[in-house]
Amino acid sequence: MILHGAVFTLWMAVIVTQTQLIAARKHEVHMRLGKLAFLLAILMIPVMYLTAVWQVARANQPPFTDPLTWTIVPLAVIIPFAILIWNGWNKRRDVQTHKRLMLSAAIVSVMGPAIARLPLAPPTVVGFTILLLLGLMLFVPLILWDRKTIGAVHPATKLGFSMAALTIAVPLAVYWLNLPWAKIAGHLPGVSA
Amino acid sequence: MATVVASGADRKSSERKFYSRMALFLVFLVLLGFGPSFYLKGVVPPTPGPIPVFRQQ
Repeated sequence: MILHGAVFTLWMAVIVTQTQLIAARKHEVHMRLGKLAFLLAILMIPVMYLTAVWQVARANQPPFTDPLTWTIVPLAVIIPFAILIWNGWNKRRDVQTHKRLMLSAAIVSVMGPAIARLPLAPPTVVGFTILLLLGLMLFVPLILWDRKTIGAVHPATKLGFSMAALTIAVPLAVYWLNLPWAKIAGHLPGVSA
Repeated sequence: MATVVASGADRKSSERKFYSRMALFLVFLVLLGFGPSFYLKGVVPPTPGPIPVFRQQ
């Protein structure tokens, strides 16, 4: 999974570079890099999927779950991430919408994997739930920023928050409602338990 | 008029700072979260978070 780490590290580097290019008023370079960034984001989708299904064989899950059920956590990110990236690309000429959607996509790709690795809660379903909700709090600065600058929450922020909420609502539903996701996951292409 | 232009420039400047800082904060979180299991594997001890550290077979 070195590839997964490398691709996501590159993605984070691109996010920072893009914001720095705008801060330096290098809009042309930002737009050219944006095309490559969009291709990178598309590449990330199969990488996300493969990371999710290949971890079954490695049994790389926390003690409160099993490998097949655990696939729902990374898989639940894929569609919301794709929706944000696609909308961000389509709205690239609408600056205010574009930057909120891209920041939201960055938050969605980071909030679960990075925050859930922080040693802030025990490795239990409750601890995992707390960390996922903590990740959702990354939207608070953006919501406050919207209220301060435009007096309301921007529709793109609402979409970003909704997508982020979806990435945590789906796995939490599986764990808290004991949904039989493992039976479905067992049939996913690439899964080899 | 000068005031309007200045406040517009200030707003753009604060906006650039906001998005830059948010991006840097996300990178900080990634380094913090993935440091023990990926970036600094073998350098710092693994953390006992809900997601186990990255294991290679």
